[in-house]
Amino acid sequence: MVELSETVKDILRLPILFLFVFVLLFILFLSLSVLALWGSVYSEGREAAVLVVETYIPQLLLQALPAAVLVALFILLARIAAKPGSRFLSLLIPLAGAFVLLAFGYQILQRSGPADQAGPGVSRPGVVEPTSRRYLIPGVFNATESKVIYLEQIDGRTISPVVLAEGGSAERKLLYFPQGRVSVGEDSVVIRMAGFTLEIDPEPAFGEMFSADPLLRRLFADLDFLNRELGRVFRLSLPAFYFAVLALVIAFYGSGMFLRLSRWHLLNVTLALLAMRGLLALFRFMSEGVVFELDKVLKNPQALQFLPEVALLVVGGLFLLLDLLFVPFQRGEAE
Amino acid sequence: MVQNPFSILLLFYLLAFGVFFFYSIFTFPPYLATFQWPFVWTNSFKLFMHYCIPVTVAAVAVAYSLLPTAETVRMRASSQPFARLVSSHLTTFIALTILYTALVLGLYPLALRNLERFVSLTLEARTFLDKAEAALAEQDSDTALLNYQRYLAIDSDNRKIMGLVSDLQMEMIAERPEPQPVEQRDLDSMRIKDLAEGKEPYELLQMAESYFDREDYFSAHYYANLAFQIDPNRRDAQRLAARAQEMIASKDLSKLEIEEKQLYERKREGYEYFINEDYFKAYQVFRELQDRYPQDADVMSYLNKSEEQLRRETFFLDEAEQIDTLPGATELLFVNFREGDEREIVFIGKLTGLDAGIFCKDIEVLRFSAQGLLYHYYAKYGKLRDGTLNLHGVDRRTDARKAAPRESVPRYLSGVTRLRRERLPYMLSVEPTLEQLPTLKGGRTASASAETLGFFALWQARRQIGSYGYLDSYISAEILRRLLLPFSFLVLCLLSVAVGWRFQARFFARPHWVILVFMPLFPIVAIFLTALYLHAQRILLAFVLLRLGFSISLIVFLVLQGLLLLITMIILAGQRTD
Repeated sequence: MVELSETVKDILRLPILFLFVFVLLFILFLSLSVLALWGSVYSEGREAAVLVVETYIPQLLLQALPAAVLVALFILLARIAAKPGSRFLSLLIPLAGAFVLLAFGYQILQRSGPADQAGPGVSRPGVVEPTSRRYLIPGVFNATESKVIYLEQIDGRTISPVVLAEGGSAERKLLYFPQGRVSVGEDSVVIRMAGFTLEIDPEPAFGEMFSADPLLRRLFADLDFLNRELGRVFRLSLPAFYFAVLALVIAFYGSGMFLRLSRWHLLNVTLALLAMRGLLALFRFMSEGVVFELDKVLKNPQALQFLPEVALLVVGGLFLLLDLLFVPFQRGEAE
Repeated sequence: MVQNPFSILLLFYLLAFGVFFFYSIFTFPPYLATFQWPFVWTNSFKLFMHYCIPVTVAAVAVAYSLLPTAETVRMRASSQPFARLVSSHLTTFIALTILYTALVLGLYPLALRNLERFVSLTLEARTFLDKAEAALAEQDSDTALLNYQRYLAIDSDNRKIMGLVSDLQMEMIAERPEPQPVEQRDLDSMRIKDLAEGKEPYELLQMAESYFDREDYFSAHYYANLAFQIDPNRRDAQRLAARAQEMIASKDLSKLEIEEKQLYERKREGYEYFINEDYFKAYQVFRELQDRYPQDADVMSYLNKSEEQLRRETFFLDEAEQIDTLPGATELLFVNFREGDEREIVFIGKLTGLDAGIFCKDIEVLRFSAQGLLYHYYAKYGKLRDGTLNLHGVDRRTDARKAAPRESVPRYLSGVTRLRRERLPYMLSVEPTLEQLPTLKGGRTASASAETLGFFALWQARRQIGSYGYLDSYISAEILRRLLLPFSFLVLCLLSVAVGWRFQARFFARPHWVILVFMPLFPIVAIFLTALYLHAQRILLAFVLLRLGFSISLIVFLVLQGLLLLITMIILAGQRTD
């Protein structure tokens, strides 16, 4: 009787908790992404910034979704490990919940969003073309990788006058140019001045204020890759997308095994977090490292297009098997 | 099980510092060997401060997760209720936060500046070494010796270079011609005993007459001539000077008297230079005389006067050149002048304070307007005084008899004519104050470049840096970032207490030593979690800063920190008590 009431409680409690945490995290991640995007285009003026943010909101929604689902899944698993209820429901609810949220949420957002996955810094015809004002501000020193540019005014693609610092010889650090032409491309911003061409990365003028710590860049790059990969398989076919989502959810659920591994719960949480981080890195490594290398030697590289997802599924399945066979479900409770 | 969580914290700190110390030893960049240990200590401190929050978070969480609980009380009968435990530790956490604040706001930027110093001095030293080797190859021993000595001023323990310098000096001594026997001079007899300074023409004439009566015709001529120059109406003075001149000419001069005559003539030459405002020439003459006649009061007096005048218009290159071997603020870039459509951009390679004043090196000035480039010049050295950068350096050690003394003046790369029209062509008025100059670093206001500035320097720079061509938003963002660190330290410390307590170990026996293997994992995870926490807040604060300004963002910052602290305290209070 007691077990039954616990099961009923789990049926109600776990989905609500999962949904609640997911919504909170989704709002948080989305808000931060919007603010960061706004900051990166702030130098173009308020109207342009609002326009860019409006344009890219659907895409930001898509980007925030996987991260919110996966973190919510981890929190739910930690909750289950701390207060275990029904083992079956503890398996079913997180897996099904995460799958439904990610797979169907992604589909809904994708339908309401842009047709492709181009990033905010990438130009798309008819949407928002970045101008030179996104990367250069008149009246101040604009620092690029190794050089500093001072310009007095921007008139469309023309900048004038321009002073380039750190150029020239040791006794001529400053170079003066009456005017220059700016070409904003997808991968670079090219400034052409009389006899001098400067190619810089398209880093927004206020971008560094919103940029991530170097320690986080790899994590964000892995998350970006996950988003791109989900977008790719979504465009490929719906079953392929479901397979990718399933592999991802199983892998992350499987790594929840670490939450019940030992009697030291802090260590368990730490190991679980590391395992999840490792899965993200593995996913990217399989695609950019292994698949890329195998592509060169195999005759039919198409066969490898789902290798990262298969790898996740295998690792996740292995974790699940170990969990079911060797890790006691009740370890979270005091022994 | 742990009895005192702070012993674990101390252990984590020691281990972290040890790891950073060994890491710094093995990653020592190709700086001069003399900087190895200073670099290792400074870099260890820098890394320790950089990772202090995650290390603390990990240590506190581990410590509280290993505290004895009611369930493990069988093992040790020292379990305490959580509330009592935490309240007793709260003071220590606040004290730790204060200490962290002092270190991160005070010493950390200093350490970063120190690391920059190692780089710039290494580059300077290598330049001297290259110059010395090039000079040696060209048999120019003087230049080689000078550059080796400059190198040694930076790398004073380099035995190899010390040996080279010693050998070079020995060679130069051996090559020097035999010195002539020094003449025995009765210096006392040759000096003019009274000063002309501050005397009226009639007084000078009286002095001249007195010397004439005593048959000291050189002094008599000098003072009579001086009286006549001050007051050309004094024909009596002119006559006395002529009589003294006749007596000098008619006398059969002894060797001593010849020398006295030469001294007099050189003094008069120097004096004329002084009167004609050629202070450099006057300085050279009196300097040379002072070497030979150190007790001559007139020489001393006019030497000081010439030097004083010279310092107003020029600076001495030997003083300025000391900047080469000293650390200082490097690569300063700023908009110095804005009026109408005219702008002036100034680049200063290095700025250092010496005993002789504030000196600059590698100065480049470029002024333009809507019509085009007005002028562009480069000066090797400059002396900053009262907001004016003097760009005219002279070598006071140059031989007075040489036609062209070594001097340093701006070299025009473009548009020389305009500046020549100006009243003081070698003076550059510098808009930023001396305190502001180090904040104008290389045109880069991003946090990475502002990190080396002290907190109060940043605070002061924020108001005016915009007028020097910098985005003040970056400075404001850096101020907020620095303020965020101590608050985050406290909030995350308290949060990790709750986390540690929430995820406590349930060991019935003494934990196996193998758990030590997992210890490094905690800081690794803490690094990511704290970075995410800080990143999220930075995004929010940067947005408020750009949208609403610094004052509002400061208020939002304080409210946010208060809220986070409140939530943390609620989480802490919500922990089970046993």
